Amino acid sequence: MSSARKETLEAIRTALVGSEPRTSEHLQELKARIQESVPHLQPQLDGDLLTHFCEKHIAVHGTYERVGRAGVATAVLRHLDSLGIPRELLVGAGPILDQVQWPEQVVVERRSANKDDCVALSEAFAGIAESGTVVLLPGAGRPSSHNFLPEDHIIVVDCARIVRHQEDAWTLVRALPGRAARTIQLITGPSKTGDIEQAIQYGAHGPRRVHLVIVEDRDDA
Amino acid sequence: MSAAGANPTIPFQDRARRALQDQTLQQAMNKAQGGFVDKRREAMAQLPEFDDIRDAARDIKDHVLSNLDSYLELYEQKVQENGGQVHWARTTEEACQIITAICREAGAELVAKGKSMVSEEMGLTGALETAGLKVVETDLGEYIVQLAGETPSHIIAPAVHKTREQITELFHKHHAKLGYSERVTQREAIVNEARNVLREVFITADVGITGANFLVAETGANVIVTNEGNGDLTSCLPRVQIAVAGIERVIPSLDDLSTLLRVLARSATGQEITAYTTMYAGPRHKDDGEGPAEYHVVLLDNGRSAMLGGAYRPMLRCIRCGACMNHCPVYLAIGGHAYGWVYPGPMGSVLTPLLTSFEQAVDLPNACTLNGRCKAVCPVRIPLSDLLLEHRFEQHRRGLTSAVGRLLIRAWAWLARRPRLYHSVMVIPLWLMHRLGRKAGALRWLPLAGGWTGSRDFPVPAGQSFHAQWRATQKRR
Repeated sequence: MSSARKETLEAIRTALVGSEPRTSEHLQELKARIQESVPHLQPQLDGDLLTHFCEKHIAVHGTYERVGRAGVATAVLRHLDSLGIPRELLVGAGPILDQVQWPEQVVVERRSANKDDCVALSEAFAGIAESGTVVLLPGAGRPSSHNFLPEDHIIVVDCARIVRHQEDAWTLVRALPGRAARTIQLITGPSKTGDIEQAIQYGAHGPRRVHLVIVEDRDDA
Repeated sequence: MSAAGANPTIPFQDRARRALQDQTLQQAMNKAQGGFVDKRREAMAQLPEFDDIRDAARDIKDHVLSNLDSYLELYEQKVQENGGQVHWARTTEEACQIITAICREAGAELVAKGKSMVSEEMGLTGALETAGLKVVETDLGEYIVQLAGETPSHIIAPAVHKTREQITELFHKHHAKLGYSERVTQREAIVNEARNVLREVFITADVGITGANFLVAETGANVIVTNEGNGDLTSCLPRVQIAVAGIERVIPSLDDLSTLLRVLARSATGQEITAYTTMYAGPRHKDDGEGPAEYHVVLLDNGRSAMLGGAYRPMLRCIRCGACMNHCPVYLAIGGHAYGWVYPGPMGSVLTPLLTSFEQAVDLPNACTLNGRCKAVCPVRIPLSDLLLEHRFEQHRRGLTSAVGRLLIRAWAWLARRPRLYHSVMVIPLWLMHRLGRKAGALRWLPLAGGWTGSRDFPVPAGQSFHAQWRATQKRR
């Protein structure tokens, strides 16, 4: 319906600038505002980023463990055992996860999730200290379904990729090569609803539990 | 059923009266009262910059509105670069036709729907059902309201008017045939049952339809903000993804998004950020193992472009947080359905006459005490109570107020401009009202004001006017 497009844009233009046409300079100005976009006023955030990130994540009902580079597999399995969940995992791609050596008795699958899968393990693109948020970029090897269908979501976060404010995560996204990520997911704690009598209930449609394995820059476990 | 959905054919005053007399509704509203308000206040206390960030949020929206045509074009260009399609709809009918056609083209049978107020505005579910499609709402609140055959009564808490007992009965009635024969009464069990039932819908739906909290021109993405994750399952599992949005949803950049997100969740639920904030830009890429093969955005005007030119433009800044209704004494007393259309509370009373017709919604701008709380809490500083007042002026200009009322106001204005005459005339009613109500301390009935005294007493005035008393005091000295 191109006539609807034309009419709508004309109606907007008439309301805003009357019969005056929009100039190409005007469009260039707006494009420049986008390209040179800078953050507006941000909340002040002092102190250690990692500490703040962890505190905020706990505040939204998440859990976490801090490990060294060699400790990922052990931490994940320890978490599963503590919940009494079988050692069967859907695993997504990522610089840290691709390097993990899994013990033989662990079932590791790399495919889309279906409704009966219990646990997914993902690697975050970044963490945001401001709100205890992890940024996930679904794509090849990192299916969106991992982030929403299983009851338990374990997310590996590289400590070096925890940024201060949300806008700092956009800076990282913009620096990616090629076309911008198709999907950017900000996840802050487990799924929840307040639709029954305004009382918070966890595990509405997405994961009931979100557990972070935060990988610090040290070689031990 | 105690609370019927919003029914525009019944006059507002009757709907409001029924709502006030509905015990179950009053019970549910009493439970809801204060929760959102307290949480918002706590969130504000933790962010000293909140007011300054609100100013920034207002400025972003104002900048967009002044350049709306150009930003829409920039956004459209990005969506197309991403491989998506943008559809434009002048009216709600046109929007429904476009979406029905997309579903037909896709050979769809089942449509999963995320919460979207603009889709309510379109009457989309009804239109798709008429076209033979099965439509399931996936937000828990919306799902409850759909099972009840009602409409949402709050823009972010659609089932706020429902008690737990009512939900138990609804689930029992509708889920028994799916094999859930036990009545679920505990919150956790209710949520689990809905989770299991709706999971099947996400997996099998052909088309997923969601709204969009924002459309980002920088990336061509639609942003959805949820706590349940239903919007994401609706967006990423079905083969065809459709996002519907009003034309005013577009914003320039991701940095602008961050500022708006900071005020949105805090104003709505008192959260710093919701559990899920997702940006979807276009259909799946070649190497993606999953994701929609088709990506559509439907942009709706429906009266919005006409609002740009006049006094109501600030209303287009609205980011649909619901803070105005959470703080409105009228909304909290009568609930959302009494407002008669999709958008309730102060923002609804401003929008409804503009998006439907002034004639159909005469009562809404008048059902307001002008206490100004809505204006004070708005995250994008919409002067809601001023706009409601503007509506009243407009009604007067259009001659929509009652002939008797206009005559009385004219008579009063004539009298008030003649102070001497005014004072001598007012002596009689003041004296009479004082005499009649002196004993009881209040008047329980007044001639010509039965509507007012029907639900409250009129305070007894002093026997003499202030002027008369002043003169008497001066004389005594």
